[in-house]
Amino acid sequence: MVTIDVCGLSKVFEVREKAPGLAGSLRSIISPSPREVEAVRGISFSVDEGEMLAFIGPNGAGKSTTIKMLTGILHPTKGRASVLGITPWKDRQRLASQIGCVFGQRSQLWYHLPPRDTFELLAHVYEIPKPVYRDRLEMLAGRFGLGEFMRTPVRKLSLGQRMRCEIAASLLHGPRVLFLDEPTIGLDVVAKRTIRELIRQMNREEGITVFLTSHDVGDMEELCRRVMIINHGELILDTSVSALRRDYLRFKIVRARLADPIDRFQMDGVAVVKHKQANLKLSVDTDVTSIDEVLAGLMRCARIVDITIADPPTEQVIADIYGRCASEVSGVPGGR
Amino acid sequence: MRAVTVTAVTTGSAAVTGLAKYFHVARISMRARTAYLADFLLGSVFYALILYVFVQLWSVLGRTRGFAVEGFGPRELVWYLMASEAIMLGRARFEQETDEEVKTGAIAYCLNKPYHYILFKLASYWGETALKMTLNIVIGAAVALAAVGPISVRPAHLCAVLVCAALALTLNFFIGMALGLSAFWVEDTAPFFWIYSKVLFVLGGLFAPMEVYPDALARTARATPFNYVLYAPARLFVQFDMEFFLRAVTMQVVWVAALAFLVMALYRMGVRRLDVNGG
Repeated sequence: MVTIDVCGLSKVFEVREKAPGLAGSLRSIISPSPREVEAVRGISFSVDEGEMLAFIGPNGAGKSTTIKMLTGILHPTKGRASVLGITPWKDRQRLASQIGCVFGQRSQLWYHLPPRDTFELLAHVYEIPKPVYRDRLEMLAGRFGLGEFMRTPVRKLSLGQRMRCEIAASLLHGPRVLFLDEPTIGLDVVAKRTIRELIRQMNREEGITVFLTSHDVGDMEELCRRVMIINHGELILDTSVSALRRDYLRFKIVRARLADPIDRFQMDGVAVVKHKQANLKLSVDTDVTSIDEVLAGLMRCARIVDITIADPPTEQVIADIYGRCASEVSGVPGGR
Repeated sequence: MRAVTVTAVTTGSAAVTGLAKYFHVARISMRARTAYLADFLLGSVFYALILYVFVQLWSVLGRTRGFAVEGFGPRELVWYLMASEAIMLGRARFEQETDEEVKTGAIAYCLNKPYHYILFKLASYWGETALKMTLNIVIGAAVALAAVGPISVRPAHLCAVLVCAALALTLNFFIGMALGLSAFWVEDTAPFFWIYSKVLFVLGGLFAPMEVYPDALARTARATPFNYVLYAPARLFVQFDMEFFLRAVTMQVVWVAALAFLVMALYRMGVRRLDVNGG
């Protein structure tokens, strides 16, 4: 069953431009020069019930604008969309009781009060009967480990604790669709892992459809089976995560600081991106050489002082997708 | 995989349950206001200080010139000021917050909840205002009592004054909200709030009742909604008169209705043109 159906959705923002200085300010009052920005350009897709979909793209790609249109916050300029059979911007309030939203950069918790107060308010806002609310809160508090800070003012919580509360708050009324806009932004590795595990669990146990936007490739890899990539407002890829991993994410970025400078580092499937004395930045093709082998190779050269292994940034993945599309069109064998 | 249904309350009428949520918004707003008790109490100390200064001023005026205009002697003026300042300083300052929410786009995040933004803000405003007003009245009454002695007020009249004060504060909310929502169209609404507060000083009758004003100024003030925010309830508290009460309440209802209509129209137009680009 289709839960989210989007067809030709577009959003154009009008941005007022102003030249610098006092003269510019005066000119902008007398003859304003608005510029149109196409944040989303005619995107179409559908999401099935219970699906976990990653909607990724770099900053300013149109991810958040899309999620805001799907939750009824923004009116689109063109196109249509339905979430659970409801047109979001036409029947926002009816839709609101069936969806949950978490905006990583905004909080729905009352900053000076403990999370419990917000939960209580939300129970009234969503008109949840008292016994149902009590059971639901107990379940969520247990699962999200909220018990220890349920009575601590939100302002005193860590970002990870706050995010756990945010997600629990958005699940309180048993939504059928959960929109997560950058839920792991600013979190450390451990907190990210916890949040991802909790989302996975809720999807598995309650069959909630999850629409996740992020510019963290890790969110997508760990949570979703399907991924859509958006850039400059256009959907440039709609594929399975495994296909994306196979085609674009087999490269890892390894940054190492060695105890002593080395002259050179050479290995099959490893490109040295940057090398300055004891500092190395490598791009590893994991299809050719595993990370284990690279680490072993580095340790043979010198003692490792510090090391980080990361996915290529979303911008790089997008550049690769464009590169591949261009080479397919021109018939030139492409790839990295 | 298990679908979870958290059903909405079905007992009682939908309207009652619909409105109950706003009562809880007011309650949580009240609780949030007392999170910093010291700050909260400090605001009322400022109120007591203003009152003290004016008590001195009116007392001197009363002693030196035998000042009394249409039944307003120094004692009445002090109690009048106690009431008008209790409203003036008891109002929750939500306008700047609304302005910020509109400008930063944070208003968008209030839209995807099953409540009406304007009613949510009204409830939140009332939660905070009720608390501040109660404290102001207690402190103000103590200062006025100590300075000029009691004033005779009948309990039935007090109920009527409370109705008038509630309408006055609701009127203030809709004026503030209309100014706050203008942020959809103008870059900075702060000057509007500044002007509004100064207009309340004069046309609202903050420091003295209209009876003390020159005729032309009093006529102008009475033609505006501002005198129904401060003057009407404060005057009724000091000098109750049924005819004035009925006229004031009728005008307050008319102004509240007109401004509520304006606010709803501004809100609908504003939300349609809401631009929130990016996260």
